[in-house]
Amino acid sequence: MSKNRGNKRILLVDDSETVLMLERMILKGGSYELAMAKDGKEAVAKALALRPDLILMDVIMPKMNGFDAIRELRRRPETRSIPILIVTTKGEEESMETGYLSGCNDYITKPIDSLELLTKIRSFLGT
Amino acid sequence: MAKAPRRKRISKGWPKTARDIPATPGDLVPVRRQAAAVEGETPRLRNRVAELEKELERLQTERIDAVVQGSGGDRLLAQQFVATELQHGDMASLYVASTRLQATLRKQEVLAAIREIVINLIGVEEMALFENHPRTSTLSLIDYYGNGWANHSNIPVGEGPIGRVALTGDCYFHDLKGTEREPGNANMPTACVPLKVDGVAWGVIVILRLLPQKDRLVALDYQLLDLLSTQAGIALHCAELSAERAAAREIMA
Repeated sequence: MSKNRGNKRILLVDDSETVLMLERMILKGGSYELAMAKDGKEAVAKALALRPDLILMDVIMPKMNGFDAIRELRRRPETRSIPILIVTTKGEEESMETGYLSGCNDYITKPIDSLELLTKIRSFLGT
Repeated sequence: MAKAPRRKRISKGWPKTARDIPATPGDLVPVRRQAAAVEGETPRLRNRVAELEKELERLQTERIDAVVQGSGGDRLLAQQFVATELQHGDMASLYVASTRLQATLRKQEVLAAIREIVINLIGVEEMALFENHPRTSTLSLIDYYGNGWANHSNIPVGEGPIGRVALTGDCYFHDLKGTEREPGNANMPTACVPLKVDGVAWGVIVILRLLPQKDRLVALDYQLLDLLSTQAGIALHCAELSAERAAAREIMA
């Protein structure tokens, strides 16, 4: 991650290299600073260290799933107010309900629609 | 000399309707019935296409309106902006798929890349990958995601949609909604795509069910499947050659 703090920081969390690469490609043109994590535990550690402006969180991951990672981030004062979008494969209501209960701000479903992703990120970051 | 009976003139090319099929012996009756059934489906499909086109137009307008609001009211600029971003998103998916396939020479990693591309970029709930064994004329299951594939570890080449794709090298698509499909029913796939090496099917990717929120395959999905058809087979073939070469080197050493 570059050190240009003028840009907004986004933490991308997914255990799939394919999804991380796609998210990086979509967001590359937006002058964001991007950081990556491959599971919930790494996401919590990186969020505490980097204090990103937004987190894009996958749900099903090894070590710690996305919902547990969000709960952990919401428990800590340093990361409590960071907007978190969950990226889920399930469009069903239960999954969304669990996401909102754990403390996420919004969600997008896979396969990722680039325009939807950019629109939601811009609306949260005001960019 | 008796005049020969005048033959009914049959137009060249495909019959336009079921009635254009000439009267023939009984063996063409089922064909006629099928043609009539297909004809009956046409208006329904036309209506569905019209509905989808309207829906697409509505979504595009919604998106453009959202951009217009944030770009000082220049509608043309907003339209171009949305179109460019959509195209950029599609290109990103194709680039990622291609890069992932070429990133390794380990067979298990190539298989994982194919699985991730199908699941995450296309949006699939149930898929499988079969390898073609021309000597035994069978397809064997080498990777899958989702339930219900245990009963389909081997499929004879030429049998069912999957076997026919391996035999002919042609893609198979059947656009049923996910909810209308039975899990694990290999006879009702959404898509079967041959993985080609030198024009021969190295194997077949089978998409059984799309994610619940996804009704059908879209234009980008067909492009991704086309890319998989031309690149995934070669990536797997290269991985096998690399493993063989490594094994031969070990023996030599």
